[in-house]
Amino acid sequence: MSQLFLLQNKFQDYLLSSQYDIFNDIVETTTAPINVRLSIYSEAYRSRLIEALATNYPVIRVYLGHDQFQMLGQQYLEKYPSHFRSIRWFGDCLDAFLKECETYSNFPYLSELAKVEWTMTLVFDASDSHIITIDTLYNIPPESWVDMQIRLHPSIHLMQFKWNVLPLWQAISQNQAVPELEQSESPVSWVFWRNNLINYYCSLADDEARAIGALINGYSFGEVCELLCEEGSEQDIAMRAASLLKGWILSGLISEIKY
Amino acid sequence: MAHIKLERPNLGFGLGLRPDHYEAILSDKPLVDWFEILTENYLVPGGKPHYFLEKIRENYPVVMHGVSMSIGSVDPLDKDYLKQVKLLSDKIKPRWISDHLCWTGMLGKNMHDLLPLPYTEEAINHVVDRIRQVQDFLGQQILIENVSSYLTYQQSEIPEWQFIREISERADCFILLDVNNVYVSAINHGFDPLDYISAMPKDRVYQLHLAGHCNMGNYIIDTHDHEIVDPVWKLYVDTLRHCGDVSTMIERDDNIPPLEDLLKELSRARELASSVLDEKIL
Ligand SMILES: [Fe+2]
Repeated sequence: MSQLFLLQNKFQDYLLSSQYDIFNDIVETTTAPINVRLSIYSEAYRSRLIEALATNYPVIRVYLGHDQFQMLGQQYLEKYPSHFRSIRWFGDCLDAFLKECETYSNFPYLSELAKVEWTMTLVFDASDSHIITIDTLYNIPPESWVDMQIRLHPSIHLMQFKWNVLPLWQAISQNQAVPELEQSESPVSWVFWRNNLINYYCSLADDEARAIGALINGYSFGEVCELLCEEGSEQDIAMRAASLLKGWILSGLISEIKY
Repeated sequence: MAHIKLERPNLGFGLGLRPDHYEAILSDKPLVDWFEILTENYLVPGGKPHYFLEKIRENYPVVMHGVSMSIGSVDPLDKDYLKQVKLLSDKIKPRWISDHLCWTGMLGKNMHDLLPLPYTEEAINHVVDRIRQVQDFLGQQILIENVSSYLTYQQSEIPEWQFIREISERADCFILLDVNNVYVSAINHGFDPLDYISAMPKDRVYQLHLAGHCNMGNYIIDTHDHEIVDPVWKLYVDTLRHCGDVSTMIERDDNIPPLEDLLKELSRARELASSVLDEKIL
């Protein structure tokens, strides 16, 4: 093994787990002892990564407060050190960590709140794409509706939450009174997307969530209608599907319709 | 790959592009000659970062400055990262691409810090070989920047200035000389910053960084969150006396002030540079 490998390995072990094998590789000086010099690096490492976590999770940071968030950041960093080139992606497993970590197991909504925040970051810098206007829809011949393929905007994320984490997220990010935490009987679906550089989110009725889920999976419009068929007459279904589609176009959810 | 050496371009006086200033740059069109972007901020699929970069690029030349090439790491070069850098570079056509003479992690992990290398023959060979690979891949010469450091390895055989000089010559790359980092390291290690500056191969110094730092008494931490201090301004003048006119920019990463404050600092750099130029004419 090369000298360089050994040195870097010892230095990284020091940063990751405070192992002092690197100590003998550092020159002792009168101005600052070795441990002080080394600690500049370990403190910078911890504070930089915890700050990056706070950037991705500003609402959790406020909700937990400085000290508790520092502790969370420290624990997370030990379990999931970064293997990313860009620090932007640090924190991708925070929702999983909050679920598995005993400290937070009594606060199950925290993991959902983390999921909301991470999704917001994904929506923020997802790929750009053109969106269609309602005119596009009017130009489609009626016989093509069944087979047409609807391509969603790349920023779209469909999520389900048991807790009222979106009202909670909104209240904290707008500096308003935090709502009472509530768990719904069955999970509620939410769609997140970006339009004109602004992030949006909206709760969905069950059939609409199913329809969007089907589009994400590449179903044609006709197949989406069949999914909706379980609940109503054929004509009602067609009306419902068409009105959903109009709503999606007006909200900027649709990038392309191929027919 | 054979490199053709052209005369060193001078971009003038630039600033680091920070999201806090996006709107102000588009609306005020400030008198900044060019912007340095943080490469990693734009290695995302789309959204605001790309939107603003494209708009700003229409009015200003840019250079790309990365923090995670990890050119000194013992890990293999990250081809996927390099591909992304190349894609971004093909898209925005920067005047040049720079990163740091350091390592940022190993065994697949990233510490997200600019960690110092030992100044040894082994490290020189390792880094030179990797810079050559990167330059071949990107199809252009890159700039490597001196980092500030807080410790010295027992292994180091030569001073830092000799290390960076050897590497730039053997790898045939350019240097981004961070004047503040030279000053910070000079205080932390007790060397004369002029020894460093005067050892620089002047034709290879393509860009200068100026920045503020945090003085802790016995040592200095390179925080980029303060104004540039007088001794660094003085060292900047010495650097220009040695290297000639070099593209200069101010880095501010934290505690980011309004754009006007940075423009004021930038005018000070302009004034100092023109006074050095006057000395030469006299
Ligand atoms: Fe720098």
